[in-house]
Amino acid sequence: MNVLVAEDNLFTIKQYKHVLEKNGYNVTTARDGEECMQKYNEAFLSLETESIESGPFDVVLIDNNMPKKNGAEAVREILERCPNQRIIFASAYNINSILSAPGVLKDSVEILQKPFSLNTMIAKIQTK
Amino acid sequence: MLKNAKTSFKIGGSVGIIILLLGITVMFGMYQMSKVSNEIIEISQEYIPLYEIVSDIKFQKSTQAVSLEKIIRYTDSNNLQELEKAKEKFWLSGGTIDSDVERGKNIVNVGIDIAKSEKSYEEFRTLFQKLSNIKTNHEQYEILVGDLFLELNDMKSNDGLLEQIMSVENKLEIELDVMLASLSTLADESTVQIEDNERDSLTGQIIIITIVGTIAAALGFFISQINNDLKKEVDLKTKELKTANEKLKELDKMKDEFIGIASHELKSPIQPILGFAELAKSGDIGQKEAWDGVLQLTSKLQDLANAILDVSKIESDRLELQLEKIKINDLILDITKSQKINLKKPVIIQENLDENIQVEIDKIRIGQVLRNLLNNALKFTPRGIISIDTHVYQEENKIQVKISDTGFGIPEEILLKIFEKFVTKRIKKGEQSGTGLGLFLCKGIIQAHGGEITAQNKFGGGAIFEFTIPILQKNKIMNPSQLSINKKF
Repeated sequence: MNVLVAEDNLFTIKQYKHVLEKNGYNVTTARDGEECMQKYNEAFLSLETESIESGPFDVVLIDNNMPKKNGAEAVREILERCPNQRIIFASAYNINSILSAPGVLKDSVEILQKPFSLNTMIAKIQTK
Repeated sequence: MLKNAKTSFKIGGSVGIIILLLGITVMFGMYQMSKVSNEIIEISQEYIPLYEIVSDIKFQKSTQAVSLEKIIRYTDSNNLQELEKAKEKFWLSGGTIDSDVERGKNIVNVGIDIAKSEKSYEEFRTLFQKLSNIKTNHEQYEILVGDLFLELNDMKSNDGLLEQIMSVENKLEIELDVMLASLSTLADESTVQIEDNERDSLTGQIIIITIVGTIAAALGFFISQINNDLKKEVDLKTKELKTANEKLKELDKMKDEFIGIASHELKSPIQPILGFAELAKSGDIGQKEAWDGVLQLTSKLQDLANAILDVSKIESDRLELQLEKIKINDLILDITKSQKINLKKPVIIQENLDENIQVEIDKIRIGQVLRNLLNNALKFTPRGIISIDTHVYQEENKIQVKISDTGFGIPEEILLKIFEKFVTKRIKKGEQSGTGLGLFLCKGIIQAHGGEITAQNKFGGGAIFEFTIPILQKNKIMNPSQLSINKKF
């Protein structure tokens, strides 16, 4: 199981990686929006043709506030490439205001409201 | 307000004038009527009865003439019976004439009594005189006729007497006609006079009513003017309220935005703190690693909380300064020293400091500003020189501090708003470390000291932050020239 995690806070990303690997996931990390897209595209290119629609990762966990490119932008680009890619979007901003803004995130994107516990994160990933 | 008072005065004055003029009109009309009725009408009423009396005198005189003719004829024809009848009739007519004259004189006397003007008085005196003359002539006539009767009895010749009688009779006739004409003229004149007076008073009243009408129209105009003025004022106030309302809406929006960003910033460190707690609890990481992480994060949280509190103070002008006299260079060197210790980059921190004068400042706050500016310079300069300069302008009571670097410089879109709250958090490619409030607080602190702070990009790369503050605060200033200079800040 492959996971891509994009988060700029060093502590946070270390914690995610630790917990995910403990639960048997293969973790790819990115520290900003650009690195996130770069790693996503690399993985995409080495995909088998039948997996193209659902993307190279089982789940992509993206934080909204990252330098160079923010999470919402990255989500949009990923979905353009692979419309069925499973994405979990994390934000400390009020979820309702994000949802009410039209066209920001596709309906299929799952949302985690920060702060959340690591157990919550694992549970969310594991329930499909 | 003054304009309104003026307009109110206009209304009040106009209403007063209208009432006054209406009163005058009424009184004027009444006066006119009384004036006419009293003198002229009464006098004019005299003329008609007088005319009638004089007409009657004339008639009676004619009757007497006829009677005289009959007497002469009957004397000739010796008709004694008819003769006596005619003589009787003659003297009867004469008596009537006498009483007519008396009645006429009485009426004229009444006229004389009520005549108010000189002209009327003279007129009536003339009439009295005329009547007297008529009476005198008539008496003469009757005397002559009496003589004629005697002559007739004596069968004497009487041609000469008859001639005299004729002459007197003619004279009387003329006098009567003159008086009748005179009375007729006077009656006409008084009618004309009455009509003139009526016309004048009518004209006067028309003029007054016209004036009143004009004033009423003016009043109407003033009222509509007031109405327009009020309307304009209402419109103006509405506009002002609208503008104020929109300003408030905007401030509200900005407040909401600030709160949104602030709460986001406060929540962000909590995520890793929570993570550390979980992992430490489940034994997945070591105690030291977990607690070090937590301490670091809570420190950041504390900084942010304090920064937000300071923002609130600055916004409501409640930032309190603890002023003391500090040697400025000592403070600066303290700060640069601690920065240099931790320096890992290929960056040199250089100081070019002016005189180490005493400045009256809040040591902690100015220290905060210096640290913030230095940290920013370090953050955005991978290599090169960061230099901190001071200039003292003693006569102007100010000191200038400049921090410049050879780093990336400030992007255009940020430079315009660089001293605003959370600028870096609001843009997509923003810098995510730091509170986002540092420069806003720097500006607030510098302004609270009565100073100014600016930022600009250096030609050739890098940025310059510069602030100027008073050396001594306002209440300690001794001479007036320094007072006027401080106004600049």
